[in-house]
Amino acid sequence: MVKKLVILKDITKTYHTGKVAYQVLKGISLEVDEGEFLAIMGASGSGKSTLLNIIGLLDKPDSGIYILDGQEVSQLTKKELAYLRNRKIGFVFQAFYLVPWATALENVLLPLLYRGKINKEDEKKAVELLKRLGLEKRINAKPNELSGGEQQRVAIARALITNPKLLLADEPTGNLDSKSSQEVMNIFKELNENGITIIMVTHDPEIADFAKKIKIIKDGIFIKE
Amino acid sequence: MKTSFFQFLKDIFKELFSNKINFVFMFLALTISLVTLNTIYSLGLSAKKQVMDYLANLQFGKDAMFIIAGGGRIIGLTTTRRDTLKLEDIEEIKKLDFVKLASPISIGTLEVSYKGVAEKLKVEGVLPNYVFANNWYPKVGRFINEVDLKTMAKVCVVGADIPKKFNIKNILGKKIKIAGQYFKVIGVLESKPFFGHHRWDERIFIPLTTAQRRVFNKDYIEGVKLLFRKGTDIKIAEKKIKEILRKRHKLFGIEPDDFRIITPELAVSIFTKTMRTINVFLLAIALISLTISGVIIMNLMYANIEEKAPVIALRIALGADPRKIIKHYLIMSFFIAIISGIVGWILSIFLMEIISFFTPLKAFFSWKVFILSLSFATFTSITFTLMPAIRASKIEPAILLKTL
Repeated sequence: MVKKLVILKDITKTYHTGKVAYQVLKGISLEVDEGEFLAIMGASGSGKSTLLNIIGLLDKPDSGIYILDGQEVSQLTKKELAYLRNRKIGFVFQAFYLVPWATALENVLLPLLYRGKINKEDEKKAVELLKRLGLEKRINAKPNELSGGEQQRVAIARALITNPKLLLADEPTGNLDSKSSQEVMNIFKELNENGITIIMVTHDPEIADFAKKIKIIKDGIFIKE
Repeated sequence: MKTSFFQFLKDIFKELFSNKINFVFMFLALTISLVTLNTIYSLGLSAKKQVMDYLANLQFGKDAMFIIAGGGRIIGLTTTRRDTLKLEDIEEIKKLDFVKLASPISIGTLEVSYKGVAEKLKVEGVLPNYVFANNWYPKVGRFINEVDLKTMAKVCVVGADIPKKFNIKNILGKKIKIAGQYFKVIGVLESKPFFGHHRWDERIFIPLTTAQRRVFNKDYIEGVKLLFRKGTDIKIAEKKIKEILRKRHKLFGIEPDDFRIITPELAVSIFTKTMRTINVFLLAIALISLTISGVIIMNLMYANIEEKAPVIALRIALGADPRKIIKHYLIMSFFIAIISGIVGWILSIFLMEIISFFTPLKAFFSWKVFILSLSFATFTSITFTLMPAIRASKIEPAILLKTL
């Protein structure tokens, strides 16, 4: 039997803007197997990013149950959540979010900074990851010296340095041209084939086609599998 | 194996220097007020040291004491009789085993003249031991001796400026007129630095007996300087002397003392009292400016955190817990403090050199000030970074995904 990496049950989330309450998620339930490649699609305001925030432990649901890798996580403290994010989850963002004053290599090593020790082997691993992603000549380049595609590949290397079980991508190709997008998606596909579970949020059907499974969210609930 | 602390520091410095203008302003804000604080504090210490050196030069070290005739406040008019301190009192005090030396003084301001030049000057009747009591010796000639005393000789020893004042060359052996009587000059004293209005080099010394019988015509003295043996407890000495004098002057109960005892500590406090008031005032200004620096740092830190919010959110998303974020900014502010503390200290030394060039104050080097500078810098910087750092630690990582 395949292990469930993510189990969400009746997740709700409401945002309050002034006196107006806006329910973004209206009881979402989701199960993601290990080794899955899931694309969540939806229009803006559909709640897909909020859902990804909750799965990524960046936000807490108002109600519902979230079990990540066999552990109930909705009641954990900020520190415990930080620990889990660091160990189990890799993030790839639309706007890359590389630290502007750090080199590609330093950016990749950043998650390990919050672990305790960075040793020579970690550095070797980071260099290898960058090589694997075709960035062997850009190891000491700063983000502003890199193209968008290169920056996103650095960000992927950063997500992978911690050997996460789960890779979360929020519109990973949103800021890229079509050629770079293809490259990035091929990397994702390869990673997934090597066993990493990926959950990706996108509104681009072409990009979503790279995933094994597509779910569409509308007005805070899934409408189709 | 590298520890991540080194990496952690590298990360902090890179962030700090990524916005150089912000850093320079935080640094300047702190440094300028530290220079002020250090300079004011150092000059205060320096002035106090100068006073101490001056007193030490007068042999008014910690084993000395002055008794002045007449009771009352230390500075100001006497409120009791002032003709009660007698040589017999001194004889009695000399019997105390801790008293090494007693040098009584009878003093008055008299008209002194030489060949038509007349001046009102301070004339002191003293004993031969005056030179030892004050560490002050003749440059030429000799000081008053026992024979002069016994014979009530009309001889005098003059301060270093006297020959110039009266335009006398080869003053030894010349006769100057003091209160209408001729005195033969037997010696000229070494020059003594003056402080305030005590112009030592313009004084004239005559034998105490001559002064009492032939000049002032009085049997009391104005004061006595006492030197104690090493290790004497000045408090106990003061108490014993007080007892003797009160008993001899028949003062009982609540009757006030008709003498004043001045200890070196008291003398320093008199000299430095005014200075201290000014110093407290200036220090207050320096502290206010330090607070302003703190507020500036806080402001710039808030701006910095605002600007770096996505990076902070990223750090949190990647697994930095709130304490790591706070630590990050506190270490940053500590670094700013250390840099400012050291630079502020060095600049204040330069500033003091400049000040000492234009004023009588001397530049003063002190590790105490260095430590003070560092501690104030650290305290201000860390205190005022605390709030922004806490704010930073509360940034929601979810803002990274605010695409909806």
